Amino acid sequence: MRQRRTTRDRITTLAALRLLAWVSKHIDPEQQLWLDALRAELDAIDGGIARLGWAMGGLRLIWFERRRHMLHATYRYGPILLNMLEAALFVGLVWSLIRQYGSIIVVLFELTGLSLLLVVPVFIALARVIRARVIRSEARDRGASRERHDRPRLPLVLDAFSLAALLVMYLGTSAALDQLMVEPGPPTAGAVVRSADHHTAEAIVDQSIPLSLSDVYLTTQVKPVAVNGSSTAQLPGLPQYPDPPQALLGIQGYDLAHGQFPDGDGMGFSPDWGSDGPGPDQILGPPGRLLDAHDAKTLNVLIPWMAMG
Amino acid sequence: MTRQPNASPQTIRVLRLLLSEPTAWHYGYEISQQTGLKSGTLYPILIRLADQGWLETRWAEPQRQGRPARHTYRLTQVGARAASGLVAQAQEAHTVEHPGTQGAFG
Repeated sequence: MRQRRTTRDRITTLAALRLLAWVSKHIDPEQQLWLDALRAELDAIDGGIARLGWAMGGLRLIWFERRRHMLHATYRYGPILLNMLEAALFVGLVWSLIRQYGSIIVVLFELTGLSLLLVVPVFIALARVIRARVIRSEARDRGASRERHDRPRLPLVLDAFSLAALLVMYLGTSAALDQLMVEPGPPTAGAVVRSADHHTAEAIVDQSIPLSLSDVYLTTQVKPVAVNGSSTAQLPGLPQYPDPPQALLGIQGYDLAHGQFPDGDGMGFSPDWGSDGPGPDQILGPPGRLLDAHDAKTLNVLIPWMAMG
Repeated sequence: MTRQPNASPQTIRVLRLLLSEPTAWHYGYEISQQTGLKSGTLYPILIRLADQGWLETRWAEPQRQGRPARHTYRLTQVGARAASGLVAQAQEAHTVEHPGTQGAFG
């Protein structure tokens, strides 16, 4: 019985020593002293099993040191990675907006987007300042301690927060801007020039938009296709015209929603009009812009009737 | 919220033991026996305390020839002061949570 125990003790003690030798190869050199300390205690322990149990604590030293390094690395590289992500997202956001909205981006930046976009760099700069202060303060208070809880966690939180804010902007801004863009402008009349329906058109436009008498006269040398965003198909007493989306493609018109309006100052008539007043091809005005099917949805454009024909 | 350093129950146990005889040198196995902590728990605590300057270490000459030198530990003055505060706090917290008992602090 005693012999069996001795054999078992020998085997387990040998296993303990082998285990510690293995740990010694894998442990950080800085921690070697502590492993030696742990090994030196083996002699004071009675029983091979107890020695083996004690030696198994050496494995924990490997894990302890690796965890420590891992935390250092996380602390050191985490903010850098987050900042790189932030920068990439910011550039991506601006680039996608420019690509998607072209020149409109300028207007959007001026009106709404600028304040949002300014928040991000300000926020990032603020995070930097807070981080620097926290690090300095921690270093002052705790010296060169490498404890996990001695390292400030706030900067990482701030970085993650600013990254999240950028992500939200990245994902949400396009949708928000799309929504802004489809909103109709101020009530306007999209119309087709046609002198035959002058009186009807004049009455509608006169009630719809504040124009001088001369402007109304000039503008209402038209046949309305839409008034205040409603198709004339829904207005009683007016004949219907071809489907606007098809008719609009590639023709020139006036973007009423964005202030392009053939007002009296810019309008004129060619001298060869007939007894019924100027015909559509005889109305002269400032150059409009090429329209597309999208304009038909907004119904905020003035379209020369000839173009419709 | 930042966790207070060295305030874990295991660390408090080690500190209490070291505080019981602040000038004496303690062996690792002895600390383990008296606190009930396994070596895998005890040594990381000792490493942390030493890193923070709370713990003094030295190699003690073997009592019998042919035996290896053993590592021994005791609190530094700074460590003893800080540990006293921590242990007192822990004891107070324990009393509030378990009124009428002294438990591990008895």
